[in-house]
Amino acid sequence: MTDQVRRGTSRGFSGVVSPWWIAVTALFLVVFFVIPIINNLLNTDQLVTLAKQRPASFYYEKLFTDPYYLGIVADTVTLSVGVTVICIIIGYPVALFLVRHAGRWSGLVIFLLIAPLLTSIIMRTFGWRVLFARRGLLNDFLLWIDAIEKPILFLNGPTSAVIGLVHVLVPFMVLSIASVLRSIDLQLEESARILGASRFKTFLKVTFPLSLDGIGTGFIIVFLLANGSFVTLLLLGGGELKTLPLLIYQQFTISRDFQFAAAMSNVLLAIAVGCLYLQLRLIKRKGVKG
Amino acid sequence: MKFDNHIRRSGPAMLGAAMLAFSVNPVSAEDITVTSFGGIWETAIKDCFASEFEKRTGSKANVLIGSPAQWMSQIEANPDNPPIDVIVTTQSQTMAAGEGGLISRATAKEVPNLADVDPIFIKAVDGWGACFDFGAFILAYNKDTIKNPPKSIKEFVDRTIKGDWMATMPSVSYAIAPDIIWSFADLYGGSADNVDPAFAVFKQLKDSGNMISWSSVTDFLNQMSTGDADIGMYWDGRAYAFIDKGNDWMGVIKPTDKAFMSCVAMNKAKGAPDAAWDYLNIVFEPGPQACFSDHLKYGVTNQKVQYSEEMKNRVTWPKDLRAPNVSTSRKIAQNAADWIERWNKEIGF
Repeated sequence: MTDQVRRGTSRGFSGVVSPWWIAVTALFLVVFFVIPIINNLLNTDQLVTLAKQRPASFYYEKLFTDPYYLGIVADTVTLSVGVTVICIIIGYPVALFLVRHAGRWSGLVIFLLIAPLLTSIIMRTFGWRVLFARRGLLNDFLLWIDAIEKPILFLNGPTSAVIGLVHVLVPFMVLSIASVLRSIDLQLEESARILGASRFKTFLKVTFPLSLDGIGTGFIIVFLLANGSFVTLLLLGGGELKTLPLLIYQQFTISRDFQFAAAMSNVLLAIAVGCLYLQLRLIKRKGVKG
Repeated sequence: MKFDNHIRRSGPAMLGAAMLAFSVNPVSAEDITVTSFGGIWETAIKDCFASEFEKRTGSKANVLIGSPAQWMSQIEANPDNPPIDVIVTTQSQTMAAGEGGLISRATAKEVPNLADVDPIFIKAVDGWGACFDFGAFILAYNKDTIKNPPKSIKEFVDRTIKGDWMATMPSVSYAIAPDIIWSFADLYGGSADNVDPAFAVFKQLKDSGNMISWSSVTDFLNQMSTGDADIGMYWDGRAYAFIDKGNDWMGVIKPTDKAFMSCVAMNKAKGAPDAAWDYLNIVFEPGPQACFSDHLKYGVTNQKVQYSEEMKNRVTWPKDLRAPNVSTSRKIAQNAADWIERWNKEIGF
């Protein structure tokens, strides 16, 4: 077996995968990713529409000079970062509990985390609508305990949209962090305790730095998913919170202004790639594997 | 080992062959692909038109769910061999598709039942086939929470601003938002060239804090069911269909100051087979149209259709509705992007 492993290792990556396989993969990526992206960047398609046709530069100029659209770009990034940070704050303790304290219940905790992912995102979002409705469970309860005099409008605003997004995305953060926490050698923490470090200091100086890799992975996954999400915003935001994905959806389904939609999607892609690069740089600077 | 080498060398070819095999369309040459909105629309299209087509021709009519903008893009992507044979479109989209060469112009020669269609529904799409059904944007309300409902759209607006109830209106993300902007402009003394009066009203509604918005037809029903809204603007047919399902707490008001009318056309994609004409002829036939009307509670356009007494009372007829003419529809389509941008900037929901 050892020989076999060694032989496999010596053959390396190219021994397992023939250049033809790599060519097929590359061809697939070129046809279904690179060419569409280039086409999108060139933005030259003239579509059947009764609306005015404008050059692609018109849309980029509008996106980068009109304060409204600059605000939308800022809101999109702020929302994504905000949701990601909330997911870390909620997800880290859950991941820590899952790995260190759940014991034989860890299977159940993982199931509870993953179970919501098995249902449609629309169903999960509508669940919040029912809970937060003007005559929903939360308002009924608050009225029952005399905490409020008339129903509060929880829905159709940034708060409900953020809650919906966090609910959808927090399992990705927990699973990313938990997988790294599980790989941390417990003897390192024990050594710190033996050397006199308190439980909190051990966490701060040993556990947390070693789990940055998981936080980084979770950050990237959650940020990118939040950055492109629009169903939750559409259903819970009530149009109060406008982001680039929502405006892209409008351009496709209502005004059929595909050129503007293409320009916005290119900007969204650039934001995602830019943030991804910054996050990776930040994580590497902290001494974590990239 | 030989097998391993074999896999490595021939794998890509096998993968390519498999992808090719899966990419071959299994639909036979006689089968057609038709389109429908979701929900009870899909049921009606299948029960009234697709099944009738299959019974008469022996070919299958595959029903594709989606939205007109998506279907138009699919036809545009491959106009010579379109993946869709019969497309459902709104008035302005029908004209855009016709003038852009995506659909064939249907006349009574290709679709004999068009001869019995009320001419206003042929004019409504500038002669690109005809609308096959029409709906009115009425006021639907909760009878338990509103005992004295408004009689007109203007009263609805005034009392919403005053705070008599929580109201809901279609958001700018709903497909016919530009048409609704025009209808408010028309109601408040503006036009397709001057939508300022409409935006002034929307601004007042928004600032009142008594208005939320819905972005899909099911969204409206959820808002009404959960109590998020007491009253709102909605399609008459869908409201009646909802009431008939046992939701008798919902009431319908036909506004005295003319509800907005929208009609839906169905046309054959230019590269589609002639079987699509057969399907369209069924769509405009009195029997299947009556079936469609019975399912969706909308008015239909063939003048020979016999409505039940209940439907006769429910349908709001075109003379009592606010509908854009061809020139206005064209302006709505031309200005849609600018109006939506203005809505985003000034109104926001």
